[in-house]
Order: sequence, then structure tokens, then C-alpha cells
Amino acid sequence: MGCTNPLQEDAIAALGPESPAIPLGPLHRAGQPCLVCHDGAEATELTVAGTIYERVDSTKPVPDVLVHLVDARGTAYVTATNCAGNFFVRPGDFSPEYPMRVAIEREGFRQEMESPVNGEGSCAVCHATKPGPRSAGRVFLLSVAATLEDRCP
Amino acid sequence: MRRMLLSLFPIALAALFVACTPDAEPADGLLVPSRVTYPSVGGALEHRCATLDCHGKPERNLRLYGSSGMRLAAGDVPGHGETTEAEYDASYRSVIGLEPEVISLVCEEGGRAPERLSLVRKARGEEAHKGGARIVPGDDADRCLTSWLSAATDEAACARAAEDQGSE
Repeated sequence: MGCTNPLQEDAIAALGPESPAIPLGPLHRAGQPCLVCHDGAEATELTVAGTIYERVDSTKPVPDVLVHLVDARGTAYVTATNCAGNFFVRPGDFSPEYPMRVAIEREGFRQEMESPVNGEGSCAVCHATKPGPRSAGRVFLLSVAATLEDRCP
Repeated sequence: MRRMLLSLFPIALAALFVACTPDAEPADGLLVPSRVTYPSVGGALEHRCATLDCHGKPERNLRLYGSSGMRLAAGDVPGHGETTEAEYDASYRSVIGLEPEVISLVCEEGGRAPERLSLVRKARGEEAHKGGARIVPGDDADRCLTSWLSAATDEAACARAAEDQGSE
């Protein structure tokens, strides 16, 4: 019988159940800390993942946002958000050496994250839904117009 | 004349205090580095150490606060405003409270062998540290931190280190 990690089990339980309207896969659990499960044991391993919204107080996701990542070695990687606003990076594509700088871009508007990421691959760990002393709030792109269409199936 | 001399007395006293008092300050019998110059050190360490995913996390030892990381006041949010004096106070207490007897010894010996402190060893990556090496011996951030421990804070190095956090 293998060992279990009670802290991880608690963290997974705290995320709550899947939404019945969204199948398991790239569109699920938007805004949640992806790497809690995506560690290669519970679910497909990811190195960096998150969700980008229209505004800090909006639940509307923004698709087609380019996410620029540059790690301590100077290695750059670019990925993009899907229709749920989710983006994710697999270890075969990019395994950052921290600290990692992040910028997001859409339609020529680019926004850089003020501080580097020093070790946490899940955006939502620091960017929890509600802004507060321990959370910068949702990741959002200032320039996006409020007329985004919901393109998810 | 007497009135003029009296009015100058506080200024003269302050000048004397600044000029004659070493940067290290006694606290409960143990020496500690300066609280006055800590904000310069805190600024240099902010993006290297105090992000929300590192020491800006309340679950972690050496809890550090800052405007871009964990905030102290309930109404403050990371990424907004400036680091407050209360936050510098809290971070300062974290730093000096980590190994009080060792930091006192380092201060007493004028900052000699700062690597006796876990703070320095871990920041340099010389001891197991989840965040790896965040400063390099001799670089601006390292000079800022170690000069602070030697009671002669290198403000210029601190300012450069604070400015240069993006390229680390």
C-alpha cells in the first residue's frame, strides 16, 4: 500500500467537486490552483497553470491571451489561454527554474507581473478569487473589452 | 540666547545620537541590526524572498511582508500601495527573531562571518532552501544584507538590489 499525503488530500477536498456541466480536461476548474492535483500522480503533471479573467471582479474568462514565461536561465516559453481562460504548461514543454517572470498579452496590449514567481506553478495559489492581504485577486488583463463571447462548448 | 540654545538642543542631541551610536542596537541584552535602515534591506529582499509563494506565505518560517507580497492590514492587497512601517516592523521582527543569539554574535563581531546565520546561508543557497539561491556572495543584495549585519548598511547596494530584482 502506497503512502498518502494528507495535506494534498485536504487541499484537493477543499477544491470541491467537479462541475457537472464541464467535463474533465483543459476547460475544467477554472480559477483553481491546478497543480494541487496536476502533480503527475493525481493527474497529468503540469509545471505552470492558471486562469485569466476579464477583470479582477469578473468571472468572465479571457481566451487567446498569450502568457509569456521567462525563467532564471533565460529560457522563454509562450502559451495561450483557451476558451475557459485556462492555460497550462507540461513539463516536456517547459520546466522553469525559478524565479520566473510572467507577462500576459492580448491584441498588442502587454502587462507584466510586478513580482517574480519564486516557486509556485499554480497562479491561483497567490491569485485567489477574492483580493485580500494574502491574495492579489484574479489574474486579469486590463485592456480587454467587455464584449467577450463565450466560446466554450 | 538661552532660548536659542534650548531650541537647538534637540537637533544637537539627535545629531549626536546618529553620529555616535553604532548601527546595531541593543534589545533585551542581545544586539540586533538597525531597524532604522531595515527598509532598505527589506526592499532589496522583497521580490527575492517575500513573494506570496515564498516567505510572503504565513505558513512558512521567516514571514515577510511587503507591498507586492503578503500584507499586514486586513484592507491592504498585494500589488497596491507602498510597504507600510508596520509591515517593515513585522518583517524586521521576523528576521531578527530567527536566530537571535547568532545574529547578536554577528552584530557584536561587526558582521564577521554572516554565514553563521541561516538567513544568509539559505539566501545564498548554501543550505537546503526550497527557493534555492536568491543572492550571490558579493552581489548588491548580498552586500546590502551583510553590510546591514555589520552596522554599516550599504544604501547604494540596497537601492541597486531593489531596482534590479527583475533580472535575478
